[in-house]
Order: sequence, then C-alpha cells, then structure tokens
Amino acid sequence: MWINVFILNKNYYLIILFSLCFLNLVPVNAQEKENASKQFLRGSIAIDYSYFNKAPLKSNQLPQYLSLLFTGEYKYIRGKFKFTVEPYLRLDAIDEYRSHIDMRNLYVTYWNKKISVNAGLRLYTLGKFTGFSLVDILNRIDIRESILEFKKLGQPSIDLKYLKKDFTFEFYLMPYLRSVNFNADRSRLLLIPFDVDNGFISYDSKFKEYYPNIASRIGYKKNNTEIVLGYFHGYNKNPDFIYQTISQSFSEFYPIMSQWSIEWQSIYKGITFTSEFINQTYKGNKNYLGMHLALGYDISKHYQGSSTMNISFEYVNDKYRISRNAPFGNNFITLYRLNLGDIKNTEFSVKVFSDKDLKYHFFDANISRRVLNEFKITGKFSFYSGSIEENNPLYLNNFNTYSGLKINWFF
Amino acid sequence: MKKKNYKTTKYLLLLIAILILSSFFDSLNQETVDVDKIMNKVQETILGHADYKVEEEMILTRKNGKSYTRNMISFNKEVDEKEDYSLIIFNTPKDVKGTKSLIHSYLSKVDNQWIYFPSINATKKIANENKSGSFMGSEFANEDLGIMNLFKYRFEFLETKMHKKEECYVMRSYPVNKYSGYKYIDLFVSKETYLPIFYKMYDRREVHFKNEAVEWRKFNDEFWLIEKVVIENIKKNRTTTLNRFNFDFDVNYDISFFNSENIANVD
Repeated sequence: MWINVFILNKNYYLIILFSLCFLNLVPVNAQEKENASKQFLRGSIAIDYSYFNKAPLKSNQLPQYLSLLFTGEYKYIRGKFKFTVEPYLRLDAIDEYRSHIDMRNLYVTYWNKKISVNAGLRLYTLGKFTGFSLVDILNRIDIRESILEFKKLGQPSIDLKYLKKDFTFEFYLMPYLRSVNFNADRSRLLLIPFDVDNGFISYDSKFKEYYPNIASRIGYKKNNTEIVLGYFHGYNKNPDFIYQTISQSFSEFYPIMSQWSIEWQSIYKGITFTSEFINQTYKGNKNYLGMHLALGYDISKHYQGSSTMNISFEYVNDKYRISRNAPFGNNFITLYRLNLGDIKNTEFSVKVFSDKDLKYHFFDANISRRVLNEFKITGKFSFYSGSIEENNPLYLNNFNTYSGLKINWFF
Repeated sequence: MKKKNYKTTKYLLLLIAILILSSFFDSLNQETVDVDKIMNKVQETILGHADYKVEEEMILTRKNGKSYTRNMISFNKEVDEKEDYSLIIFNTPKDVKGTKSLIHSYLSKVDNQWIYFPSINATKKIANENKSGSFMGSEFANEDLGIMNLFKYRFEFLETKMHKKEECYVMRSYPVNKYSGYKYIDLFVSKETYLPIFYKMYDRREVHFKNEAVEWRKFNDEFWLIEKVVIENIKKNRTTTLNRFNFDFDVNYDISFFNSENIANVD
C-alpha cells in the first residue's frame, strides 16, 4: 500500500528523486563569496506512534497509528535568487489513507534592498500567533496531519514585499486555494486530532475553480511596537460543514468572503502584548468578528539554556457570527498554550483548547528531549499525551485519551 | 614654659612640611588616569573593521565534563563608528539548523536583537528587558553580544594590575541599562594595545559569577577582531569557548542584508 502512494504521486516522487540526485552532484554549503552559488539542506526523519485508549472515537478511527515521516528543506542560492524545495512524506503502516506525499514549498525568490518576490507553491505564516492565528488565512490545513501541529498545505501563489523605512507593504495573489476534500461518504470533522478522511482524497486545485484570491498588508514597526493592517478577499481557509441527511455525514463548503484585519504587538517591560482583530464579510450581509488577545513573557533571563516560556491566553469572540448553513451555532473558543522551550535540551508544552458551542475540548502535553552524541547525531524523543472530548450524538464515544511517541533524527 | 611651647610648634610644623612634601613627591610618581581618554582609545582600537564573514564554533562544557559544539557562520558590517550589525546563522545542533540571530548594535542607544526560527518561519524580537538571558544555551548573555555593547557602561578607574604578563588598567564598569543582568563588570584593558582582554562579571547581588577572557588578532595591520572568547561560569562550573576562524574580508554586504524584514531571505 505504501507503493500506491508513490504511484499516485509520481510527479512529486520524480521531483524528490531529481532533488536528491542534484544534492549528490553539488557539495552542500559550498558557498564562499556573496555572488557564488550556495546550498542549504535541513530536515528530519521520524517515527511516530500514537495509541487511542478507547477506540474508536468515531467509526473510522483506528486504535493506533504508526507512521514514518520525512521532511526536508533544500535551498539553492545564487546571489539574490533562491530556489526552495520542501517535500513531505508520511507513510502510515496502519491507516493507508493517512499516507501521503506532498510538496510544502516549491518556489523561487528574488530579493534586493527594497523588494522581495516569491513565486510557486508556498507556506505562509501570517499574524503574531504561532499555531492559531486569525489572520493566518492563506494556507489551508492538511487534515491528514495532526491538527495539534497545524500542518499546512503549500499554496500556489505570487507574493511581493516592499520595504520603505519603518513600513512594509505586502501583496499576495493566489489563483486558487489548495485543500484536501472531505467528499467521502464517511467524512469526518476537521478539528479532531489524528483524524483523516477515509474516503477519496483529492485536491480542489483545479483550474475550473479558479478564483483570484488576493491579500495585502501594510505593516509599521517602530521600537518595540508593530502594527499591521491586512485585507483578504477569496475563499475562506476554514470550511463550513453541511450535514448530509441521506449519507448521514458532513461535507465541507468553503465560502467566499472579505476580511479586514488589524494586528498589534508591543513589548513593555519584558512582556509581549499581542492582539489580532478580524472582520469577515460574506455574501448576504453575513458578518463575523473575531479577536485574539495574548500576553507572553520570556523567562530565559531566569534560566540557563536557550529557554523561552510563553504563557499565552488566546480568546476568540464569535458571538456576532451568523450561521452560514453550518450545523452548529456560534463558536466560543478559548485556547491556552504554554511552552517551556529548550532548557537543558528539554522542551515542554501544554495546549488546552475549548469550543463551548461544539462542545469540543482537547488537552495535549508534549515533552521532548534532544539527544546529542559523539557521532554528531542530533535526535529528539518526544512523548505526548492528551484527551479529546466531543459531545456529538453521531460518535460512538464522546471522550477519548491518547498517547504517542515520536523519535526524530535531524540532518 | 614658653620655650617648651615653641619647641612643640617647631616639631609640628616640620611634620606638616614632611607630609606635604611626601604627598607632593607621591603625586609626581603616580600616573594620572583619565578614564574617558582610555575608553576613547579603546573605541578607536576596536572599531573601524571591514565587512567580514567568519566561521564560529561554540563549545559548551557542562559541569559533568560533557561538551556540546554549536557551529555558526557570522556576517558582520560596521555601518559607521556608531552602528555595527551582525547576523549569526546556526548550522548545528541540526534541529535548530537555519536559526538566525540578528543584532543591531549601537554606540549610544539600546541594541536591537531578533531571532528567526525557520521551523515556523517567524522572527521574534528580543525585548531589551530580556537581554540578560542566555544566548542559545551558552554562558553568553544576549547583552554580551555586539562589540558596541562595551561602551554602554559608566566607567570608574580602579587600579593598574598585571593580567597574564600584561599590565592592564582595571576599570569598574556599571551598565547604563537598568535591565542588565550585571551589577558591574571589572574590565581589564591592556596598557600596551588598549584592547579589553579580561572581564570579571558581578551579578545583581554583587556576586562574582563569570570570567571572560578575550583573545584578539590584528588583520591587515589595520584593525583588531576577536579570535577567541572563553567564558567561565564560576557559580555553575560551566564553560563556553567561542573560536572564530576562516575570516573572509572579500565581502561587501549591503545594509539590507541586515534588515529584520529580510532575515528569512538571507542565507
């Protein structure tokens, strides 16, 4: 079944093969002079095992998953030009529909003093929040991956960035949005960790669905304060779910909308204040307002080790939302995230997510230990555990717990 | 009775005269030390370098004797005598490969520092108040980075002292930044070269906790650059050694190379 993945995605397979051949031909990090060509390679290979105590949560869920993961980033740089390729592969020994090969990044860059231009397939990170940002709307999430990690799909796009003193102007053009569809008769919801569509997986990146998605941003940065105004028009990256009574399943629908956003971040006395505000407008005067607020405090000054601790409280107010054929009412979401990073080669993080309307909650804790040895191998052992609660009458179980182990080798 | 008084006064006057004369001759022997003059000379000596790229190896030795190596490439530009920029790109440990640290160092104002994380493609600014934190797990504090940092102190002359066969001016330097992790630093400036070669660092509770030894190398007979730094944390019994090698001056970096908005593009 793993071979099927390669056959189905032979184009990607050829790109990776070509990249690897190319890597062997030219020595990595061979750069010396600014105009000479240079290369950069980084990546990891991992084994990921996860186990659900009370399986299945839903009819399609399996009690355990065992995956082999590969991710690599290769850059070829020549002067102000750059080519970046980042393939991704997951091979799951138990759930074959989780196995997939994808290209996260495949783009060319040109940049100079004032302008940078990227064209190709690209992952973007917008907003000041890592992981759950309201304004981060350009890439849809890869639902075959763990939702806890918010892995995204590469987006075909052209973007332009212009720098002028303390101002930054950005413009993005995307002919269509790439996503993994839920068009199966036994489809599942997006928010569930480790949950994938067990039916036919396809992309909606067809030219017949061409629609010019655009985004622009103006940023102003002075001392310890940064403000960004943003505008987006196109398909929302988050789908609405429509309940199909005949098949008794959900199908997704990506509505077209316009979004205005404001991001603000300031650092005062070592505390980082962050906020995001969005206003989305849909056809038929439907409106949605959202807000995130967070405080971050860096405790690295109190500890040895490159430690950073961010205690952030994120809050989304969804009460002005008007239902757009969605099966659920208003969302009231809170997300707490605590990261204790890299103290004596150990990292610890906790995430708590709660959606009162969906009656969906999850808790996730992760501890990782970096291993360095005399063979110069860098590895990481991560243990994670958590619980999911979702009060949905369609599900076999409303509460489940899971645990997992991930072993990484970095190159 | 009168005679006795006269004798006493005579002895007293003689004593005063001896004291005055001895202090006069003492002052003739003693060197006059102008702190500002010394620090201006230090500034002249260590600034004025060309653009350069250098490979760096940071060896972190723990209490149990285990050591970890971090390899980096550092790109440096002195904009003028008041601004100095440097960009450090990490090569190892492999899981943080591609992490970048950008420092804008200023002579008379607070430095700016950013860290770029390639895994999340995001740049984070380090708050001025947090610069006493460790730099990538080493004994270097973020505030130790940047050559201009040396001048963000108020200096007071202590004494002249020998350090490793070199006669030095010893200055007590008090940080201007109230968020500094140091109460003061005793700085040893070589009398011969006017280079700072040794630092004794005291924490906020005035406990001597770190020593820093710096080795300099002269390039093209024009300017000095740091070649080796050894920081010893006395309290935690740890050492960080920074070796710099393969200096490359055949580079000319545009200022945009060090723009925090371009940090993701620079490799």
